[in-house]
This record gives sequence, structure tokens and C-alpha cells, in this order.
Amino acid sequence: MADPVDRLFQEWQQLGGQVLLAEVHAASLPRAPEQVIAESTAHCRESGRLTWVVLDWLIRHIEQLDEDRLLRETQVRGDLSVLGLLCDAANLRRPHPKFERTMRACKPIDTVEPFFQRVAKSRLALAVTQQNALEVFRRWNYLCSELRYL
Amino acid sequence: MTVKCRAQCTHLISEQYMKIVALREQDLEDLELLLPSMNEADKAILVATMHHVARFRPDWAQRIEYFLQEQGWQTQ
Repeated sequence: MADPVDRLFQEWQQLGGQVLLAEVHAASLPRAPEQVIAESTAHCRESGRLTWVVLDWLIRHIEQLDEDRLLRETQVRGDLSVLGLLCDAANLRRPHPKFERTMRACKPIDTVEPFFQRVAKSRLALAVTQQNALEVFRRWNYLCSELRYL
Repeated sequence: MTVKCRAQCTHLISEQYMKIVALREQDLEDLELLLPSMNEADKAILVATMHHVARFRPDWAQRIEYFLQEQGWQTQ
């Protein structure tokens, strides 16, 4: 399974994420959620579906997360601006001190960019996104017009 | 084309149609896979449907036309 996003979907299913898979591959040893979240933040901009699965999992399982480990793992293998955004969006739905502390440890990207890579490639999709950009994404210097809670 | 095939084809085209109108990230992902797999007959149906829809939802039809042109389609 070469595609990292496909592999992450398999791991999210093992972790109890709300993901529907066409086929389930033989389970390897599950990684810690902090590691899977961290790696997912590096790929969320490639996949809306992955973004909403991670967001949903965060909302449901925030109590069991080690926030210091999550930040360390994300610094190594992920994207802190995406983690900050996900915690911000999760905190809107279900306020929690862990979300707030994690957000404070993250910072927005330096310049304003479309959040999703596919949207950035389409002039039409980009125009629609710019017209309807959501505030929670803007706080992290991202442009995105959709936010899904599963 | 059998009746069943035609119904399936029409269903797929209307699904793609709604994906272009909605234009969420996951729709773009699906369209990346679906549009290149369409044959010339399917493409002609999609374009004809677009012109029909322009009569009552010109905003939808315009969005679809822009998107298909971005993909290099002839829409006239």
C-alpha cells in the first residue's frame, strides 16, 4: 500500500475512526494515536476525507491524548499549523482545555494559502473558496470554505 | 445500450453533475478519477445536460461550464 493517505485511513479504522474502507488490510501493530495524528497533519491538505476523519476522532477522544507527545510528534513528522487548525475546529464543536493548550503551542503558516491542494489547482474552486472562506481557517492563514463534522 | 446500462450511465452523470456544482475537496478528488474515464458519448450527454440546466439554473450551468473548460473540454 504505497499511498500514505490510504495507509492512514487503515490506521484510523484500527483506532476507531469514522472511516469506511473498500478493503481492510491485514492489521499491523497499531501506532499510538499521537503518531497517527501527527502524520495525518502532513497529509490533511491532500484529502478532505482524511481531514474530517481526524477532526471527528479528536472531538471524540481528546481525553486520551498526551498533548506533549502530540506536539513533539507533530514537530517531527507533521504540520503544526494544521494541528492548530484541527484543534481550533474541534474546540468550536467541543470546547476542551487540551485543545486550547495545543492551539497555543501551534502557529499559523506565514502566508495565506488555500488549505486543500486540489482546490488550489482549480481556478473555479479557488474562487468559490475565496468568496466563502471560513473564519476558523483564516485564523491559521488558510482559505477553505468547508468544514465537516461527521 | 441496454435500458439498465443507460439508467446507470444517467445516474453517474447526474452524480458528477452534482459534484461539480458542490465542488468540495472530496468532489474534486472523485472527479479526478471519474471524468477521465468518460467516453465521448457520456461527455456529450453531460454537456447537453448542462445546456438544459442553463434554462432554470444558469448559475449551476455556468459553474459546470467553467469547470469543464478548466479540464480542457469543448462545451459548445
